[in-house]
Amino acid sequence: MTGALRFPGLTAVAVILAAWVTATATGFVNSEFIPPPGEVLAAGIEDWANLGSATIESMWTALVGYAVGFGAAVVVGMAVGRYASVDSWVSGPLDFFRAIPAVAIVPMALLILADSFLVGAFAVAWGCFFLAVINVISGVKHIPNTLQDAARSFGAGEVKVLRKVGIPSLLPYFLSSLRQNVSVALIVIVVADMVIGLSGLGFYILRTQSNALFGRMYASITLIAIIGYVAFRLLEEAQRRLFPWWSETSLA
Amino acid sequence: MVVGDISGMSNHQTSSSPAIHLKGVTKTYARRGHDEDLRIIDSLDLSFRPGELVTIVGPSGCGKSTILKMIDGLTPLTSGSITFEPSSPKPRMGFVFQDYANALAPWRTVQKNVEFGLEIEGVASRTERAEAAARYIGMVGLEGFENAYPRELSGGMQQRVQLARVLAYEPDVLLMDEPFGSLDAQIRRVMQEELRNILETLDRTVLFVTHDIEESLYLGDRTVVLDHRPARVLTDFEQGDRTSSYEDFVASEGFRARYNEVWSLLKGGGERG
Repeated sequence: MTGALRFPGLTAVAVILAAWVTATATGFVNSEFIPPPGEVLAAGIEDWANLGSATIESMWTALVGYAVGFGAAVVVGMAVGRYASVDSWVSGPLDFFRAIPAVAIVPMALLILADSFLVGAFAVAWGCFFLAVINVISGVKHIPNTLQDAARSFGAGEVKVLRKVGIPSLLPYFLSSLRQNVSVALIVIVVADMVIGLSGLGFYILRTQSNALFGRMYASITLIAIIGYVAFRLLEEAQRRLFPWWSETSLA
Repeated sequence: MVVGDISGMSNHQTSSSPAIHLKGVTKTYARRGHDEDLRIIDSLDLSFRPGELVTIVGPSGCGKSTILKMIDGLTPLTSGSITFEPSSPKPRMGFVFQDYANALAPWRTVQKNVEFGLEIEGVASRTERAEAAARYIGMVGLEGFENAYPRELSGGMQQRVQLARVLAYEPDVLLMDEPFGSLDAQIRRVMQEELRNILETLDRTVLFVTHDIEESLYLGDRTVVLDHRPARVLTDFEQGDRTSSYEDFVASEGFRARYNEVWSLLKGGGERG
């Protein structure tokens, strides 16, 4: 009991698995459509070569898009946050394009880019960019003015002000964006795979579903969940260790 | 009062404070929807002698903070001049801001915040920085909090960190912009007494801005009273011998006379404005 209390998260997972097993064993759900966890695991292992290559392809594409989207957001966000003139030109288009869901971009990107890697990466970059850019702009606006004055008073030039005040105060905003964008990247890459319909995890889900290979389908879905969870927790842990002083509530 | 070991402090403190001369200093701000600029400070002439502890008192918004920022070069003058005597080497300024929460780096511990100025100056030696920081952390009574982050500290303690940071930089001129203005009354009283004791050991030029008449009289060897916008000098006087305790000082005849004099001047200015 104390063990369960100590790890409530693990306990919850165990409860869900137990419910899943019970539901399939008692016939509460049709085990043809929802096989028990053991069968899902076995199906995933059985088809590991296909599942593995689909995963690697999708994750690589997503990672490239995630990095490019973030990099672009840092550049644009810093310019918008720092220079009012850039802000006045860019913020209108930014708000307009932000309204377009990343997945709606895919069919258009397919026409122009005509390459499944480029299309997937572009769509992920699109999705990640808009979330990150808001974080970065907000970060730039939260660089403490008084501390910048203090640095100048101690004789810092603009480069030193940026190095000693700007960057350190922006870093946690960067990491926040990266953390929040894990789920954006996963959503967009899976949908992009489905729309492109050639390869990758999204396509693997569609194909196994239409071929009634439900064990493999659940295996791939579970794999996505695990990847997302691990990435999210790693970034959360990084944030906790690198920026112990940081608390998101202190922003208000 | 915690005045730590100050014997180790640098030797240049005795004579390197410069005199500061403000001549015809004017500051205006453009106003949206007005043809005429807002005149905050209008041809102000003021001089400060080396090692002088001057309090500048005036109503809120009279431009007294702006004067400090112009002396420090943080805000440009509209016209006029601010000169230092001697003019070289360029005097080192230490600015203590009222807004302590935004003046400290939230990602730095107390220790690292105190080292901030030395780091920017380029004091490369870690141990040298750490020693200076430890000395002044002791002086402001923050031993034991070296590894705390600012958000873990009370307002008064954060302001002590800021004071230590500026002292560790060993400035020739100390510019203090309502440093206790955001603290509650009790803490303010304690900080005032501690500051007075610290400043007495330093012998630097100190310009201390406040809107609190009592504070200005208690802390200043000399007090400059400024009028509301545009700032001009209403009166400027030196005070004689000082009693050591705050209670004795505010109970004295001299204090009450001065207080009433300053108050009536400020009140008159307020009514006219």
